[in-house]
Amino acid sequence: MTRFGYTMMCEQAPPDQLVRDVVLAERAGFDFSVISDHWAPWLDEQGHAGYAWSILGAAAQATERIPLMTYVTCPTLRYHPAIVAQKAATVQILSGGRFRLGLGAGENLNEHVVGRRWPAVGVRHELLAEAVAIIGALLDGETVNHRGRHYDVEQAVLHDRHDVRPPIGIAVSGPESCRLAGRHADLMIATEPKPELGERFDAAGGEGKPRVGQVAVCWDADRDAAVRRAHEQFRWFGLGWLVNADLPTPAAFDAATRFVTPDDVAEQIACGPDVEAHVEAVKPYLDAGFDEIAFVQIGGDQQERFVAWAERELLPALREL
Amino acid sequence: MRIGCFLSSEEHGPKELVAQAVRAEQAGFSALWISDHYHPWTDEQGHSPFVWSAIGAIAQATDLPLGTGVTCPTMRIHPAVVAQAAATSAILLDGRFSFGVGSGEALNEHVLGDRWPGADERIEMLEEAIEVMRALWSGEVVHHRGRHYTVEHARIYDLPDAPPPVLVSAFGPKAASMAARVADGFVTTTPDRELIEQYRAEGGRGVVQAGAKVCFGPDEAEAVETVHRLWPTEQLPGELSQVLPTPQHFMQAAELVTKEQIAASPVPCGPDVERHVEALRRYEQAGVDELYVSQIGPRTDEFFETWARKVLPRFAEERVG
Repeated sequence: MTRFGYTMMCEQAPPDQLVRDVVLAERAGFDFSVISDHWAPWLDEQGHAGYAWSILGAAAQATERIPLMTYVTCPTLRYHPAIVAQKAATVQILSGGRFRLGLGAGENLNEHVVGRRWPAVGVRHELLAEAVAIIGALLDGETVNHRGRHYDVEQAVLHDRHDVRPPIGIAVSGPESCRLAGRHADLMIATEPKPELGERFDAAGGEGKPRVGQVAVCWDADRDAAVRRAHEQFRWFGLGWLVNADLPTPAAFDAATRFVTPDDVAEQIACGPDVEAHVEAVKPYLDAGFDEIAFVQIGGDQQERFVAWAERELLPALREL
Repeated sequence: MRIGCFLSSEEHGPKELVAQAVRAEQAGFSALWISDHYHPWTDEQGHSPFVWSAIGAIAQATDLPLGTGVTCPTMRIHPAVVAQAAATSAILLDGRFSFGVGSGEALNEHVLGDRWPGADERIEMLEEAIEVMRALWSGEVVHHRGRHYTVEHARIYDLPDAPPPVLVSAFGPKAASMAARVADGFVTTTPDRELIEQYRAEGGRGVVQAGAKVCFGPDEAEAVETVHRLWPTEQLPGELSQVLPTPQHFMQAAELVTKEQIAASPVPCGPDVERHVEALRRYEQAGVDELYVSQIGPRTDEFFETWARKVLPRFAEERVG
């Protein structure tokens, strides 16, 4: 049975509102939730980027049942993996075991702020692999002494851990990340519904493990307004990971998307009131073998309406698939 | 002098800290403090949840003001990231956040394998970290190439209405001078009237916060034994607490600490409310504005119950008069 989730999008709403929204999403019946983990939004028009780990603490306290997951955290540059492990362990306890740690190789947008060189993708995967090993060892309760190619960890141990180790997800976009995820992750994360990602993941050892996708939509009673909003805030979405991982600032994203038109966006993102269009949007993920699909409703101030509509129309329609 | 409750991350896991915060509010404590560790001082203490997620949860659970007592923003987490965490926490707390900072302990900061510098350098790092954080809290795009930190094109998007007050913790005159020069307040762990007066004499006009430990319980001998078991490290002299790197080293050093020393220490042990009040008064006489009290050991019920009925009212009277 496919599960449908809700996204706390830190880039488009302030921290306290995100917490209120996920409470609504829990009540509305979303199966799970995810949260982005950013230093900056992709575009200034989005306007926000709260610290995900404090928001998660508040969300864990405010909700009762809904699973929580970072989608995704980069544990390699602006954060050190040993600290990410402590964060994940604490949120797992605060949520009573509802947390999953979604990890990715990072975006220049977020990682450059601490003034370290933004590495090439191959190095980023190396960093991620080493970080995952450190995080896994700490989450297992080991005393970690590690002198690796990229990280040192000295005599570190996590003192607060839940009985259940939080599952680790790894975001995939190509063969290297699929291999890493297949070998080391408990679940696969992807924002492109490409069947080959799942195939490579399975081939590398991921068979039987969940695949969690995410789809951006822009529900609105007024389709034109939806298209305008999606273009204003999410026109970067279709550039692809090769570009999006390397652009350094919201200004750069603005420049890179100068020629993206509202029609371009409307072709890629379901916009408007029609539930059919939004249900269609998940079909590529279902066809590609995804088990869980999280929705992002574009527009930080549109969440309450979206969740109410989702409860009334979207979720029932999805459950009939 | 206002009395707050000092939540001990060393002794309690994240859910217990949230529960204690709620009890503290019910008992009439005016505010909360929370310590920030990667490791506890000893294995006997056994805890160190990730403070910024705990703060998020506590913000959701109570309406009390909350401060870090104290956080080290210089090493294991980059000050830019700490600035984002503090800003989000201040938002989640509706502005009721005070940011106590210190120059750190090797115990928590060495885990990433960095060299542990001497006190002068650590104070220098703290001062630069504060500069970086304040720049980021302005909401401007920050570029910083300093002696210890690089921040590249970074802007914090979610900021509280006003930047949180920064209170600097000092054990000696150099740090007290720095606090007077750059901070919005001063933090001490002892009723050191001389140091507080130095802070004031050098121009420090901010609030003075202090942390104190007590062990309230029905039996004095049992309380002494509890303190000896859980906090022998408070008796370690000089800079040991800042430079010993692991709980194992602290436990070795603590073998020299006797129960007699604990009994003779300023930590009030046992059922005599007057002794506890007297211990708190010493801080008041030294010039402390806000005292945060931590109960050592498992008798938290007795502590909250007795403090609510017999201790807090003694200090509340003074304020009304």
